[in-house]
Amino acid sequence: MVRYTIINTVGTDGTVDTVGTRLRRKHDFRAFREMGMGFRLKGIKNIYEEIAEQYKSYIRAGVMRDGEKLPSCRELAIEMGINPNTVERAYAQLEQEGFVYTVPKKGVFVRFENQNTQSLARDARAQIAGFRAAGLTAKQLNQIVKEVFAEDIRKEERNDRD
Amino acid sequence: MIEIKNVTKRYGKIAALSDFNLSVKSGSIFGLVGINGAGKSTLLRLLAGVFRAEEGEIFVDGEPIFENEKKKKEIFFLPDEPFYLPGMNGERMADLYKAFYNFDQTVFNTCIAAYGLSLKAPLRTFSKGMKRQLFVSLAFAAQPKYLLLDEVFDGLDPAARLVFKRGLVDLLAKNGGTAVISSHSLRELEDICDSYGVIDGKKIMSSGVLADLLEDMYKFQIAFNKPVLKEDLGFECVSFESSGRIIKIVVRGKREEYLAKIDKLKPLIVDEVPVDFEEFFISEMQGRYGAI
Repeated sequence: MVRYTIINTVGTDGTVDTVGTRLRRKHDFRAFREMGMGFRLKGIKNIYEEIAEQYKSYIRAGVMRDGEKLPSCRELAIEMGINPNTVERAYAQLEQEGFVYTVPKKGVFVRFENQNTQSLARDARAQIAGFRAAGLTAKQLNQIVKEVFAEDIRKEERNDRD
Repeated sequence: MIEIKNVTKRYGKIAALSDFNLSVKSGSIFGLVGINGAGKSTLLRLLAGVFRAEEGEIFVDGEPIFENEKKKKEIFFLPDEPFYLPGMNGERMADLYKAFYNFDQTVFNTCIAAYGLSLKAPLRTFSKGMKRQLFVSLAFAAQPKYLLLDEVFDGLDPAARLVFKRGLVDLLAKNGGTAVISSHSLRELEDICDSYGVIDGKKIMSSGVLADLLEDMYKFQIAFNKPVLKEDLGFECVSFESSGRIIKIVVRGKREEYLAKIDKLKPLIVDEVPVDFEEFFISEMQGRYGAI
């Protein structure tokens, strides 16, 4: 069984980051953490979507690298105590969105190179809408964007000068 | 494959199930739900071939199940209140089940070790949950093709539930078996089951694939700057709850379309709340019990 590093950015104690989300199945979550899986079931939607989301964040963050094998449906289902069909569904969604590919009789593997930024943009938009509802202004957000992209902006400016 | 055709089961003059129809596909984990007294245990006892139906027929793999000794070897029924003789302990229970089933001692030992149970201690000294753990271990070791579990999560602590769920997935993946589980722990059922059936009014009221059930259902909690009535929404919803300026709605359909419609109402805050099996069950069972 492959073990993954936990990359939870917030709420490692099980508390939730975004307004309107609610923690469900706290005991399961604890069990996952003990296993080092770092799955955080937030209960926003179906279990399969949560598994898919978690893998997406692992792949984006580079915790899971290009060509790395995901656990088999059965392995993951047993680890988490959920129906294997649920895991299959999560993998199917990941494949449809281009995050993984299936090699018949070998397994499911991470595909990083073709990752389109569309789904990232969609996520960002949803998050930002939430920040806006919580009272963040466009000015504040712009400032944050500048800070996060500081390196890239400097590079661009250098290129412009040359 | 389990097929129940036009079954009626009566206790004296009272029918517990009436003209009941259901089929459970091989290889599935089927979650059976319903309010207290809906007939879940009656159905499981009929499936186990313990009860005889007054009308209709029950087939397991195409064979009638009642008094069918050969077929019953492939079925393990774990009742709500498991029976054991006085003076029994885990070891002697295992010996008893060896007489009826193709008992796998390794599976049994693994389960017992996972639960940390003593095989020598008399069963009467076990708590409710410990007894359940022992019977779950016996059920897994019996390697049945059909596993019928009545209120199986009852008494099990959260960690023991996870051990049970893992064991069940492992068992069914190995031998391609089928499980029917009745429970009120809908969160647990949602984890483990792929299909479900709701018993209500002596019949199956709703059944199907669990993931499809919740697929297009959404719940939103919306806050406005003035009170909003159901008529103000301008669209249909499955359920509507209002506490003045804050409303909770459940809708069926496309998420984005509803979000766009909600946006037109100029809300202050829109939160998406998870719709789970429990939410579904409660909204379906509205009005079964009086207001408290």
